[in-house]
Amino acid sequence: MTEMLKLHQLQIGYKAQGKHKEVVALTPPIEALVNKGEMVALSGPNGAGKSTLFRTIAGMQPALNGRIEIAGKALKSLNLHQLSKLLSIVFTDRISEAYLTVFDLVATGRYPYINQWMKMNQADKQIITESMEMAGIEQFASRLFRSLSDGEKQKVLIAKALAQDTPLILFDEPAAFLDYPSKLNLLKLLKKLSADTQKTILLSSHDLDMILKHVDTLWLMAPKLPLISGTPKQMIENKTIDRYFGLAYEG
Amino acid sequence: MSNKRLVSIFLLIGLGIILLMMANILWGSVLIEPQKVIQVLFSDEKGFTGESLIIWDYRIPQLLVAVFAGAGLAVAGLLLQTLFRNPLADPSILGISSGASLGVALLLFLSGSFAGSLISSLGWIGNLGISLAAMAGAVAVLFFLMAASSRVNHIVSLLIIGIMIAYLAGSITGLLRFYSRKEDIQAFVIWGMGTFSGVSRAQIPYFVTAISIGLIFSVFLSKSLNLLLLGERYAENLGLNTHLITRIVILLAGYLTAIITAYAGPIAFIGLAVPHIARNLFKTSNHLVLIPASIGTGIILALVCNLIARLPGIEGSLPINAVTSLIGAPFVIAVMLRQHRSNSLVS
Repeated sequence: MTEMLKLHQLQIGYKAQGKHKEVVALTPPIEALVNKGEMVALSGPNGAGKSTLFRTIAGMQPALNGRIEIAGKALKSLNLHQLSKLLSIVFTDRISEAYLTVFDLVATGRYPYINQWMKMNQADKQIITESMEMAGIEQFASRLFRSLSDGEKQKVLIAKALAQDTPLILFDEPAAFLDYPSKLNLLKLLKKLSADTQKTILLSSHDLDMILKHVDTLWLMAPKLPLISGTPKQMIENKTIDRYFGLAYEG
Repeated sequence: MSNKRLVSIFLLIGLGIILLMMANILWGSVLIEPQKVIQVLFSDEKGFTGESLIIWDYRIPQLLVAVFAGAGLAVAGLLLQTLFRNPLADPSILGISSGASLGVALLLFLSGSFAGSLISSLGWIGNLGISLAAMAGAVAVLFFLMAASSRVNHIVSLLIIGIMIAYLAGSITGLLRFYSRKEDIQAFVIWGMGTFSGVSRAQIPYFVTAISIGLIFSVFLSKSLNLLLLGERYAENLGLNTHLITRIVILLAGYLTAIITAYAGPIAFIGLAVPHIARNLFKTSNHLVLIPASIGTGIILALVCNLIARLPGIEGSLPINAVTSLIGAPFVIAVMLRQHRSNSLVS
């Protein structure tokens, strides 16, 4: 199996502002591995550092220490442009631009591959169409993005990530604004994508209930505890989930 | 939008600009017959008749200032609205025009109080002095903003810093005004009203070249600007160095604003309104279309205002700032109301 994402002795957190430049590490050093085509869910209580870990992997925040490898390349050695072809990320950020159509938004996924004048060739257009089909939004192509529902918007952003054609896709709380059927729908879609395209998917979610049923591997984080990895089944049986969510009342 | 519709709107804008340019040369506070205008424009004899003087030294320079100021302010406004993802951003939001005003206020009021001379009575030397003072004020604010942009992490912090600079410069200007003589205040108020006739024929080539360079440069930023619309994090994930682009965009918008404000005064409204009109006209968020669209729309708005400001029968010319808002505001309101009606689908 090919290693897609490797975290070695990784410390994430912040350098505090002010005179002392104190370093605030959120967790003990992280040791973890994701193979190609795997779908991993990252969960844990608020403040565990899930978003910080995502930002660090996406190269938007420096690691305090340790090493991140994406598709065998050290993150530190990659510039933004090289990284944009290896890793795409779907955030919870709102995009509210008035005249942005669904097609144009999905097309931004091709920006790392096209020149200054944004001229797309047939292959680029093909990838955009296929990405929209995979996400099931091809019928919205000429609609304005802001006129869609939250669930539809989420799928458009997934299509954008697919168009970016990266082996690794990160989803930061992909189900945050969705109702129950849409959440279920979304997870099934992600699972199907990882199976059909062999893309590696790392998603963060609070929704334990939902992810336990749909992912191969679960990563748990909690303040001051080491990141732990395992199958959902193991995690339930050995009470790791209870421990990480602070639910171990009975000892 | 189909390419066909795109081309036809651009053709209409081009036609509008040509017609308005002709109207701007033909009409003015002094009535010159059309035949005479054509004779002055196309004859080889460099006669120093009154008509020739009015056309070559006043109407054409004024026309060119209107064209390039309109285009420059529109693009500066578009750049800042995209950067801050805020539809209310305009060239005055970063305090650059307030800095220019402060520069002019310092020159007018301090020279009036200490040297006892009236800059405003010095003719073209006075005008050049005012332009230089405005430029100095604008550039000072721009440098401060650039320094600040490397120290703040969030674009919103930068926006707040810019607005604070505007207040600061405004209040210092207000204090200077409070302690100044009536004559100096009048000169300052007149500068603040904006004018397209403040650039002499000799300085026109510099003004036109400087603005053209800025406009051409902005087109090269189209792709980056499209990415900025998605927000900083998505832009970065698609390979854009957002810190660098933020500085380049502020520098470019500031450059355009500084030069135009130095020569034409703090012209309001064009920079705020034109990008909205352009977006609604072309129903796109693609800057490769929006930048030329803003340039064209900005030119049209500036030329219409210039025409109205000096219609025959009006003594002298009306302050441009009064005219831009008077014409532009109802138009933008109409555009917004229409946008509300046809919300979700684009052709």
